[in-house]
Amino acid sequence: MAIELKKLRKVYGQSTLAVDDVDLTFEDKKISILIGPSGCGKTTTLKMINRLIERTSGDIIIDGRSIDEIGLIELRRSIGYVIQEIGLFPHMTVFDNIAVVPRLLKWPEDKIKKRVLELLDLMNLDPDEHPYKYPVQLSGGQKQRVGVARGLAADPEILLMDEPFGAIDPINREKLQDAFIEIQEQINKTIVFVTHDIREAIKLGDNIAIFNEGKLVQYDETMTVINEPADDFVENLLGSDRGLRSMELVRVHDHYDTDFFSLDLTDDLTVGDALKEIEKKDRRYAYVINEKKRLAGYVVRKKIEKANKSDPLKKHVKETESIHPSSSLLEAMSLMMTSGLSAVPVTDDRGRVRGVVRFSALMEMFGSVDLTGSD
Amino acid sequence: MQALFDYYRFNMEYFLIKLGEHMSIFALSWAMAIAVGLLIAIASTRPGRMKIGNALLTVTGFSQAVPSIAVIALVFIFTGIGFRPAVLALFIYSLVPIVFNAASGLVSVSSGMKEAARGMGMTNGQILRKVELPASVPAILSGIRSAATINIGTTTIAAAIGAGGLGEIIFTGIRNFNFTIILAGAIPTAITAILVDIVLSVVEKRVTSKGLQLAEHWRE
Repeated sequence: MAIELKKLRKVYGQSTLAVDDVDLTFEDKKISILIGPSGCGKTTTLKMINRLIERTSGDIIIDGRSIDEIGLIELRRSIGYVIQEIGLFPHMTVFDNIAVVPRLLKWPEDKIKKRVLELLDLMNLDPDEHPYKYPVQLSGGQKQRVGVARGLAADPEILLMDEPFGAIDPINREKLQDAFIEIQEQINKTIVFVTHDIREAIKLGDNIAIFNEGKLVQYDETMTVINEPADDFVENLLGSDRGLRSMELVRVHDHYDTDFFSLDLTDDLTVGDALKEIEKKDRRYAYVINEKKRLAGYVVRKKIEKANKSDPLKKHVKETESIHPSSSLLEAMSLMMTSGLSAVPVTDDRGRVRGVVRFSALMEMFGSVDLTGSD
Repeated sequence: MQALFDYYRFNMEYFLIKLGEHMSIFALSWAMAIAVGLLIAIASTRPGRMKIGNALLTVTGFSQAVPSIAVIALVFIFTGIGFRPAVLALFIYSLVPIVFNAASGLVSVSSGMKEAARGMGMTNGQILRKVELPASVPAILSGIRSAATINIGTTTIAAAIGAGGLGEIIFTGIRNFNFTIILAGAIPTAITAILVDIVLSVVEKRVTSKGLQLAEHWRE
């Protein structure tokens, strides 16, 4: 569900302008980041969506309806809300913490139980051990996972996250972010995420909204923000090493090419048959997919042109490295460097080819950025 | 020792009446103080009224230093002597720790927790019932507990304004310079205070969430 902010404004007291005429749309099923220095209006903007803070003027439209048309309590129950670990209830078990909203919605207990266990599994928490623990018995990272699970409990379309990983140490924060990226790939929610950490913004964000002094300075896709910062403020926020840094943080996920050629391998497929196909499509190489639909390797046209045409193709398939969508572009780049490939295939958890990352595309993406970081 | 047993043997009926009076003064004033005290603590800590809550904490914190005899004397001036003035005085006196502890518990429920509750769509009533009160149980109960022990002890003084109770036995002993009679009143007073405290500590363990007990343990 997309969320549209229209001329959104928040004034405190007589004249303190916390949020100043913000217009933007959080896209459906994307992670949109709100970032800026403290007091810039990012948290205020977030909290106006579930009306923890009431706006002064303007409108917020969710799925075509103004949030005022939805009852306050109903609105909040339909939107997941995740804050730092302090938001967990210490007197409730992990199970009861996660079950809060489903119980408010009066779900039957067996449905709640099923949902809680499912979420624990999604969050990589042991469903045998963790449900009956109390927050005080968990590590910071585990608490935060419970916090996210609680936000997702009633399966809301929208998740609001207010610096959820802010209190976690850097190493565990990285782990949580990686896990969160994988979770979002499974759940596909519309997520609005407040942070003050630019690394986190680049790493998690499909889109980034940069705020300063209540105004929206820039709102673009993450790569656009990196390559074309709107002004000095954004450039400073990104820091001098933004090229390398963004390569390290931006995931393969949104940036691979789905235009590639592949052959389905069978025992009786000969080099001649394969060559015909490759020539017809005018390709220089082809990926080879085995019977289980997994990537078996690749064949290069020039190499097999020299081979005996009646040979089974199997004999000429070369193994290849591949990369997961949640890996960073920097990992893709270094894989190209070490393997000498000009393109690496992108494969999912089941080994199926989803696309390809090409060196030329990486160069194009980061071409405008000084990769040495010397500015 | 033998003298003490003799006292009870010859005055059993009188002793039981006094014990009954003592317990009714205590139970009545304590129960009223719990009911009224919790209402005051809750009412003064609702959203937007935190200032009142904090002011109340200062006032009640301060009034804990007022000696019980002073409260009883004051109530006596306005309402005279007997059972009812004694209950009233002890009610007022035990109100203080109950309100103080409950209010400080409710005030210290983290704003993050309350905001999470609100953000998830709890109504104000649900936030109170499901978050604020359960999280404040240890503080609330410690107020109720200390009110109970103070109250049982202070009820002895109620005899001074003619309310009866075990204090009457103690005062009789004092007037007659009879150490045995003083003990005959004082020992059961102490024992009941200790028993009530033990019972309440068991109750406290039962109704406090394990999560909070563990958290308490953690801090130590």
